[in-house]
Amino acid sequence: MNITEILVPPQALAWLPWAVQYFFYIGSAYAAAILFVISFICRSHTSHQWRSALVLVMAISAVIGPIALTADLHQPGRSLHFFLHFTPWSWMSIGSLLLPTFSGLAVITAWLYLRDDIAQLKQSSNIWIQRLSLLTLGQWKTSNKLMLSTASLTGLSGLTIALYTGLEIAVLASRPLWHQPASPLLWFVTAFIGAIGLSMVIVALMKSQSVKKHERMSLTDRKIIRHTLILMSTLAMVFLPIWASNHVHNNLFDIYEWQLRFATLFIGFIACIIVGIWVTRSTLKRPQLLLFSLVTLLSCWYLRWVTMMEVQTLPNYDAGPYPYSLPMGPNGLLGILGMLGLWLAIATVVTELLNVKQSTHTRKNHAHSHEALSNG
Amino acid sequence: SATVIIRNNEAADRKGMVGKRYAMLVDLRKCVGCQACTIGCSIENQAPIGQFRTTVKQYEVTLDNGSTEAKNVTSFMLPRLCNHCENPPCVAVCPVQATFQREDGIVMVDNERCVACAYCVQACPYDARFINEETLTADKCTFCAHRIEEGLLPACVETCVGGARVIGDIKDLGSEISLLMAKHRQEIKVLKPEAGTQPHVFYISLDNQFVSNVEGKAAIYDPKGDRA
Amino acid sequence: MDNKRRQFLKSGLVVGGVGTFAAGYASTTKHMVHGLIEGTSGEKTKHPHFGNSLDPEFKVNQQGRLIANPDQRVAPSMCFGCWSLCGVRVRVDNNSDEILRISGNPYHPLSNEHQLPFDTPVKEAYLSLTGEAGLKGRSTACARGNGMLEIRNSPYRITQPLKRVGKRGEGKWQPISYEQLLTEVVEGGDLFGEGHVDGLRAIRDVNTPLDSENPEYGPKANQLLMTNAGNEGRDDIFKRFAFNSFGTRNFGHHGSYCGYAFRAGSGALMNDLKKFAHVKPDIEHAEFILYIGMSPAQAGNPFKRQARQLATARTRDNFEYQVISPTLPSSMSLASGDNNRWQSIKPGTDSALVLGMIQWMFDNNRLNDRFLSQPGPNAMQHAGTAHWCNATHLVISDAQHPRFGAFLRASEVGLTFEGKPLSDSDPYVIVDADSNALGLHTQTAPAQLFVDRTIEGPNGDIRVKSSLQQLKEATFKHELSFYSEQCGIETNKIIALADKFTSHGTKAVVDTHGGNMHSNGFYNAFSILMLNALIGNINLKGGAMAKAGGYPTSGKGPRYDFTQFEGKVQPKGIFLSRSKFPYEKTSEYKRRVAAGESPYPTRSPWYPISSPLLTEHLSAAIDGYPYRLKAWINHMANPLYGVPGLANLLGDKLKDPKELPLIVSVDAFINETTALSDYIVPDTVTYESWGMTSPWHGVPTKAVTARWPIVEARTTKTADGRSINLENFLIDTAKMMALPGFGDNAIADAKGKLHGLHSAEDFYLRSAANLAYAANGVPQACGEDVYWSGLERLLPDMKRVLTSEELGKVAYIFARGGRFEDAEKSYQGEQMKHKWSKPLAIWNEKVGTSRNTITGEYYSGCPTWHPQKMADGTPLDEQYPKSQWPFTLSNFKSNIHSAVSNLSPRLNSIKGVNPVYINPVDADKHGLSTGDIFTITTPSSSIEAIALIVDGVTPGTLGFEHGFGHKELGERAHWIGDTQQPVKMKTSDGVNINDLGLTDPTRQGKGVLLDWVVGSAARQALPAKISVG
Ligand SMILES: Nc1nc2c(c(=O)[nH]1)N[C@H]1C(S)=C(S)[C@@H](COP(=O)(O)OP(=O)(O)OC[C@H]3O[C@@H](n4cnc5c(=O)[nH]c(N)nc54)[C@H](O)[C@@H]3O)O[C@H]1N2
Ligand SMILES: Nc1nc2c(c(=O)[nH]1)N[C@H]1C(S)=C(S)[C@@H](COP(=O)(O)OP(=O)(O)OC[C@H]3O[C@@H](n4cnc5c(=O)[nH]c(N)nc54)[C@H](O)[C@@H]3O)O[C@H]1N2
Ligand code: SF4
Ligand code: SF4
Ligand code: SF4
Ligand code: SF4
Ligand code: SF4
Ligand SMILES: [Mo]
Repeated sequence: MNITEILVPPQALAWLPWAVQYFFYIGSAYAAAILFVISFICRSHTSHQWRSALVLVMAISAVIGPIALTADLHQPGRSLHFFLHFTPWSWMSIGSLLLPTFSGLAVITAWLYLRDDIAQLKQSSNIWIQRLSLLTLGQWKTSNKLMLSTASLTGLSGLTIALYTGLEIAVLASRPLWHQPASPLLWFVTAFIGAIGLSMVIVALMKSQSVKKHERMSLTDRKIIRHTLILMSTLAMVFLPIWASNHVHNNLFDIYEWQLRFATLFIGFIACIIVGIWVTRSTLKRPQLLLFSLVTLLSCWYLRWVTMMEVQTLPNYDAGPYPYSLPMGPNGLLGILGMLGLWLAIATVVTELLNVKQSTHTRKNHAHSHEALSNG
Repeated sequence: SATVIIRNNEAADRKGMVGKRYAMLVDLRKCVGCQACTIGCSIENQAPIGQFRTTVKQYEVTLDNGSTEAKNVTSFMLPRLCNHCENPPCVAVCPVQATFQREDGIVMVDNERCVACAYCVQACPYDARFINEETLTADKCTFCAHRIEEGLLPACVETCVGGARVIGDIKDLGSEISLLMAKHRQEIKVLKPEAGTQPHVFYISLDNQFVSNVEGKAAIYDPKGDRA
Repeated sequence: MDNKRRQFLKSGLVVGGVGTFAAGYASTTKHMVHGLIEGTSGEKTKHPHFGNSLDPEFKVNQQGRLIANPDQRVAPSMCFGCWSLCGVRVRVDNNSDEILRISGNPYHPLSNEHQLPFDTPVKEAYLSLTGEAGLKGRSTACARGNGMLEIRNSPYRITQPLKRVGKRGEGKWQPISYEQLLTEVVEGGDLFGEGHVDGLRAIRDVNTPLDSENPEYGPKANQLLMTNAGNEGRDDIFKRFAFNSFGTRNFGHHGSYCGYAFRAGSGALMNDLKKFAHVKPDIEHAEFILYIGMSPAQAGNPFKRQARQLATARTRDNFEYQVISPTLPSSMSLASGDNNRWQSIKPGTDSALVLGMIQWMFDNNRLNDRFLSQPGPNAMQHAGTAHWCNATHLVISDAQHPRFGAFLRASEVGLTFEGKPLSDSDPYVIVDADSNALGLHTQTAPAQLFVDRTIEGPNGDIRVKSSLQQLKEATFKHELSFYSEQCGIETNKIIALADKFTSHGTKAVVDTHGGNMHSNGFYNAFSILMLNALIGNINLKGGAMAKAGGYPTSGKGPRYDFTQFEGKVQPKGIFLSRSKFPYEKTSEYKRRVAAGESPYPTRSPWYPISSPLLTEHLSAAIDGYPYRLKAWINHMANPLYGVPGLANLLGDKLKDPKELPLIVSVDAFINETTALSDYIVPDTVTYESWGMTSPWHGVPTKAVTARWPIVEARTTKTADGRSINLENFLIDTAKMMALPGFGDNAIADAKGKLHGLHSAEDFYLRSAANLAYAANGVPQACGEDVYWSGLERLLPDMKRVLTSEELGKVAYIFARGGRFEDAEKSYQGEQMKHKWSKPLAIWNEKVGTSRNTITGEYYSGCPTWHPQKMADGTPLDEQYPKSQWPFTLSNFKSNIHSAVSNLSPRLNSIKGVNPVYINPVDADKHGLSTGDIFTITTPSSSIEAIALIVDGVTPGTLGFEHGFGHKELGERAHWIGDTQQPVKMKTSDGVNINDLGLTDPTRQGKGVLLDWVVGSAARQALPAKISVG
């Protein structure tokens, strides 16, 4: 029997690019949280710059992510309904509790970690910036123990996010590509690639003469990047074919567009590995950093695009894919650029503020605070 | 399995017509592919133009029976709508219990509660749901509950040119649908039985090739971005 | 990088980032704020669960009683979504007067399988549509029927009188007052600053010949052409104005580009070259139906009833059908199994297939001899057949004989007859079956079927052949293999089909229609329909049924006689389209013969057997043969969209006011044709207007749809408060010109008392009185009928125009949307109740004695193989050889759309473009894939289309779905005063095959390619080539 569809209406994509954005930022946030815990534990070998970068990525992304998520709700004003009608059997509902917890913890962790730096804002000549130093909420010292336990809690909370976001989609039996263990794993491992990409953006933003030599990226930082990129990209390349072969009706490997997508993804992950190898050998000047972050961010982003958006173009029933073209407006390109813009804006402001202290405070002061942290 | 089926219908106004179970039977032999149901539904339920609670897919089918006879080409029409599944995955996923299944089997959405996360849209294996771009809430066939409750027929049934669509209470053994289901028991199929959703839109004369998915040449589509 | 620059860049990043975010997130913010304030980000729904679904029109309470919804009414009306013109029921919002939804009228046979008995009270009728009962009782509207309510508020609708500004066709209009409209159209003058234009008053001269050389052309008044689309219920008043008040001969409608080749072919068989009657299968009881060149359930007239009946029939055990067409129609049903089959065919070759079948039937004695051999009504009665035909009548077959092709009459061979020789009472001669002697068709015994002999007449020998003998010889002119090669269907399949068709006794039927619209359509249709005659299924249950017809309305009725009025004009002269008049009687013919020259060829063909042809009117007028026009009033017809090739041929000519000085359109929209007018008179849409129609066919019982304005017209009003529409325009024009038949004392009642005709109401309410009183009349309506049908709004007018007794009866029919005979009256035993009474013509005398005026050759009087031809008889594929034009274009009606349904956005959202069907074999050859754009070229023009590769199209053929490719009706923005109409967002709504239609180069006076015998449009089987890239 040969079938030709004469008249079949397409099914519109239900989740818009906002969903990809959410997954991208929240993934980066939880991965950064985990990397931060590791970096913090190895704090004698990792640099403050690197840890700050991670902690900022975590906090900014944990705030940006939910903003993107809200946009994917067509009724953002009804977000309260999540709490009014808590539904424990729905992963999305569970997520509505987990997500604010994580975001809150992420901000607290970042705040705790950066309290000293915030305190330094006093040094600014600008009265408004000076006042920001009050955000330390007192003069007390953050103990290492407090820091570690908060960071670990955040890391754990990050894992719950990884779990719920993964399962939320994986439970959807309607889409075989989502309904498999490989899909949450794929998102989980690539989240680290995104976290590293964003961290490198922060480092690039912070990078200036004013950062003291000993604070600059250490070899351990670079090794963490290297190992993470190599490990996660390799795992992604292992999971990807497993994931793709789970489509029940069409063999994705037979479809030209999908071949292209997979090829692009593989090239991306290999590029990430190369970045990983390069990272320990290069000087990490701003152009390199930007190049590295571009490669890693695009790889992470595109994986999400393919696994979330392109998957939705695969019909549940009909013969051929429903074509999707990225709209230019809010629900498309403008929305994507907007979220990125917001992320960069926050990152710029924050790193700039941190620069303030770096350019003004004395080394001693800093060393002291650093000591305090490392010994407390 | 022993898993409980989530219906989200504890509230009093979510019970529907207790004691009944509505279902639809589509006699595909009688469907002429005229799309009257599509338009009738679209107007009755004031769906935004271009968003449909029911559709009718039109196919060309070439039968190659292996003989030397030239190929036999024919047409096939498939009306589609929400199956008002007995085990509706769309209901289970809703994070705010906005979508629910009444005691009479009808799966509905509470437009005032829905946060329009489209989770249910994703969960439906039948593409039966969409986010209504005007109301900005999940939308789907309601079996025209607002009409059935008043003793009237749904728009699509009422205006079905071929007389293919039959709706009724399958718990009432004397209803037209029950009689027809009994008469055609052998020939009755549902879409994607393997999904375990237990659809309650039944088809007479649904060819096996169309039960789970269509393998064939794809339609021509206008590429679309989002609608909302 | 220095610090400043870095700062600058960073602040840029911050500002840019936040700015982009603000923009990208704006709609979410809006949704959020809106949501917080209003409780929803979207449109508030009326009900938390039912959303914005309409409130039910009524409900059934616990006791099973119908409870009204005081905010709504349900009124009967008529659909104009296609030319089936079904009766519908319309839900109207009482507060806003908006139409809410449309479904079928339960009393109406076109919307129902078995319409509800007419005496059912309206309330009970509505109750029968509900609940379980409603499943059986369902009365439907199709997709268009549902969707067309959108035309009422369409942004493209015209609601005020318009006059063109700028050049004709430019798309710029100025609203004018109704008074100005009437004055300018009637009085003429320098209306557009382009010189003097004659108004209607100047054109109306019913005495002076328009051409003194050719007095038979008739008076000057014939220089007004009045056309409408078809009879959508308002034909009578239009014709009254044209023929009997204004006095022009020239009225035309879409018939010639609808299915006229079929109608003419059927008229030839039915012996009815006046009304061109046809039969339809009794689907309910037939066992086998062969559809050749028509596609039930895809289109067809009536679309909906036929679709419903077919759907039911194919679930029966004893029913099968086949469709033969170049493209796979949606008539076929995989779900119904083996009982239905599609057979592809080369376009325009149907008579080859059918003559092949008939040949086999002759060879294998598969004719219904019993039916065929009854020579007349007496024999029919005696034999107990349901009908008779002229198979046994003797045709004069001697080419030298002055009556070549005519039937031998009693007077010619010295047999007894009454009245004048060769008059109707002079019987036909036959050969008695038993005695082999000459006899008369009036005898009670059967006659010889096959006769070929020479008879001694008083004036010498006459070679005669029986009609059936003629058919047999025509059939055997070619071998079966030749026929098979022509149509591309293997001989064994032709035989199998003939075998199948003749294996069900009289319970097999053939039906055809639009698939004959090609240049040899007449003979194809005549051949196809001959199959019914050969098995003798006419008037039989399960066979072919005649049209049941309707009841009198605006004719001569029991209450009012519309046909007589003081000063009534009888139109005279020759139709502009040179039809129905033998060229041999013209002055031109006589002049040419007198001058010793051959009278043939004529400048353009004459059509001796045809009705007036809108396919020719305009080209004839522009060419001036036989004469030119001064004005054209067009109501709703859209020939520039619907006639293949016409827009290419005449589009520019019609834009030149010198060619046709005054064009007035009466329409609700600016379509491809009205776009070329000087004035547009806004018209009501179907739900707002009056009208009386009867089903085109397919209903075995009598029916008249009577529609009345169920909602207020959206057109502007006249000074005295009537809505502007066709009727009031005609009435006011006539009154201004003091034409007879309108104004005071225009309509006589049964007692001879005269009544005025000042408004549409005056006309239709009295027509309705006729309808209500006809055939023993109907009862008085009860108050509930009036209430439930929403008829209350009409009562003031009814009280003004009708007597109180009339009012009650008129209310009875209006509440039910017309007058309908009960479904149970369909049959009388094994026969249809309403029968066709004229004998069938195996040989059509009129056709067989007429000539083609280009070649001077006689037409054949029975089905005969003719390939597609140009007007001068040149076969189409000689004119356009296959080597150069390898493709053939074919056309089919959309199963979703009609030519006007693109006015419904909802319908367009289901299907908005029409990819062109191409066979995989052809696609491969040209490297085409589905979705590719390619160019299609015919000898006349070229278009770009999207390819859809399907098995369901004959190789070498391209299939076009009709109803798309509009250039107007919203596709182009017109300026009305200072405002521009909105344009549709889409760049294209697909393609129209008519844009590729051919001009016939073999005729002197330019015209489009038409059927070479009857002048119907040729939209099928056009030669073409394609190119890619
Ligand atoms: N859906 C819908 N229904 C309609 C209408 C509409 O616009 N839309 N319009 C109404 C009107 S006005 C009319 S007149 C009727 C017409 O109803 P139909 O006559 O049934 O429709 P058409 O599409 O004109 O032609 C019928 C078929 O002829 C086939 N055909 C074309 N060329 C050839 C040929 O050379 N040989 C053979 N054997 N077949 C051929 C086409 O494939 C097509 O399927 O439909 C009415 N009903
Ligand atoms: N290629 C091709 N050509 C065809 C056909 C085909 O199948 N293929 N079909 C042919 C057939 S069968 C036919 S019958 C003809 C039909 O051709 P026509 O009868 O000439 O015209 P229609 O296209 O039906 O359009 C009628 C016009 O009426 C107007 N109108 C619509 N609704 C209303 C209303 O409610 N009130 C008023 N006052 N005006 C209204 C619109 O301006 C519309 O353009 O076309 C023929 N042409
Ligand atoms: S068809 Fe889809 S929307 Fe309807 S009940 Fe089943 S899963 Fe839910
Ligand atoms: S879109 Fe509405 S109904 Fe669907 S899951 Fe989300 S909240 Fe529930
Ligand atoms: S039952 Fe009502 S809502 Fe459902 S498809 Fe039919 S008309 Fe639409
Ligand atoms: S209205 Fe009935 S016959 Fe027409 S497409 Fe819908 S289900 Fe089929
Ligand atoms: S068949 Fe034609 S007239 Fe009847 S409802 Fe459909 S569109 Fe209207
Ligand atoms: Mo027509």
